[in-house]
Amino acid sequence: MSSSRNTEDGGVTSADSNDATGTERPSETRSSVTSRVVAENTARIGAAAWPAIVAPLMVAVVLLLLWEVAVRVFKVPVFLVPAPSVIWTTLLADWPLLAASLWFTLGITALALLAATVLGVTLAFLFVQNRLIELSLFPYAVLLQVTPIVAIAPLIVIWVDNSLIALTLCATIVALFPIISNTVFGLRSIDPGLRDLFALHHASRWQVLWRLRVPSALPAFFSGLRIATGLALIGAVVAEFVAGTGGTQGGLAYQILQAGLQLNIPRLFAALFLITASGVVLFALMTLIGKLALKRWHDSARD
Amino acid sequence: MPPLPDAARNTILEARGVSRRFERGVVALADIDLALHAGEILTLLGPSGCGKSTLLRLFAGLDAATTGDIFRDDSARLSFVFQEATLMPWTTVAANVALPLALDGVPVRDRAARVDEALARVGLSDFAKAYPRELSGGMKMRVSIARALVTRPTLLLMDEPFGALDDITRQRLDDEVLALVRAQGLSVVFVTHNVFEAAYLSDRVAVMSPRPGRIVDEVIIDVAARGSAFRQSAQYGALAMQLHAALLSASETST
Repeated sequence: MSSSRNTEDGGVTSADSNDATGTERPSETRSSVTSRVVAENTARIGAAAWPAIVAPLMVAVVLLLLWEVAVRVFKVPVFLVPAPSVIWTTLLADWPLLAASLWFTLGITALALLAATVLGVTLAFLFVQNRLIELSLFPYAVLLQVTPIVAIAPLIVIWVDNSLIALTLCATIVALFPIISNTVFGLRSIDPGLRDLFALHHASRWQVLWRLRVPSALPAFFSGLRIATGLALIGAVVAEFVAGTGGTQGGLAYQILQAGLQLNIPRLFAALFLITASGVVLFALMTLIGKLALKRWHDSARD
Repeated sequence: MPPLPDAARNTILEARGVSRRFERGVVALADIDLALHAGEILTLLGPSGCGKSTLLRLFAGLDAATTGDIFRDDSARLSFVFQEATLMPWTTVAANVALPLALDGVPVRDRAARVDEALARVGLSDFAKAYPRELSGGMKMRVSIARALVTRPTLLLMDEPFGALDDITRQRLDDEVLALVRAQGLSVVFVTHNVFEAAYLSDRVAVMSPRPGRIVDEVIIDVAARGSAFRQSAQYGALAMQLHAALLSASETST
């Protein structure tokens, strides 16, 4: 018995002397191995995903129930802590108002993420191609990263007339660094053996970049993108807090500020809930995009 | 000094007076004189850190000698098999094997047949569309060998290719390499620290001392047929013992 699976178990399963002299030939077809691998993966994901989704949901249900009961039993005034049911009805009642703000904030987040991705990836490519460019510019990327956005947002708002552009700029600055650093790390983390192989075949810089560095960088890039998505949303909200809105349109931060001033605490909670939910949904979306993109890349990389 | 590379001796590869000193003053190789003849399997045997991989990289042109010269027959087509399988995880076995052809600019339409041929040589025809992660360690290494064979090389440089595999798999792959090399008349430089592997595979073994790496002994292995009978034979055991003793004395002279 010398199936291809046995080789992974090492000499333990195939220690009979026949195998020592015979050549190792796969006795299974590829499809059976593949289907088994897929089946194992599905089983593992199925087993891991359900507790991962159900368990935190159960915690949420329990906490919301406790919250609801506590507020009712102790008769907490609604302007201090509203019950979840009140927050929910406020969310539904104020939906036209809140939805407009939600789209505004999401729009800024998306624009900032797009800008940060284009800018970050371009800079990462330049850094990897030219050491001098990296040495010259990387400290400034760090500088942008460590400077609190709340400190520079007022300046940006003063300098940039258009509030949409000003807010996008703030969110971009916050989201930029993880894209740069992850992409640079990914472009650098190439297999030294493959690098030698490319060198042996006198591969051009372009071939090394396109056939080796870019695919090697994708997993790190997508994890950078996931971090940047959360940061872009935070950046959009924080910038709006600091800047306020010049125009007629306001985002979720504006709603929170207004609701606070008017002591409309249920609406404040509803807006807060929308920000958090957006963050979770965006994170999940980016995870999904990363998985799909990597899978597609795998299939399309064939010549 | 060995003679110049000339047609009579059919020298494929030669190092003459080669040394390699790294930037921090570490001398990896000193006074290396070594030649590889056509159709020969030459093994560099030595302890870890003796510079045998460095010498192989010099032979491949991946690194340059500090002093001395490396000669390589202009007509030799060289392939390199690395310590690890070093496959691209993001693409299929077939695309991995096709990589050297793609880098050499072989037209896409001509690649498939060459890839099929190379995969057939290592018995992995059914796995062309598999991804590396679906393969065992031994199968990955065979893909790596197929990738080296796809350019139809005449000279194969192998850097401890099976060091990470279990004994049984390693022995199988040694047999496969022997069969492939003999069938195609390849010239091989094989690096290992394993005396049994060296005794089994080689026509000639160059025994190296630890840092600075020197060639302290050359053992010629003259065996009519390899295979399971040879592995059971007293001659094989004696050769392994002889190489072991040479390795031991090499380590002692340097320390």
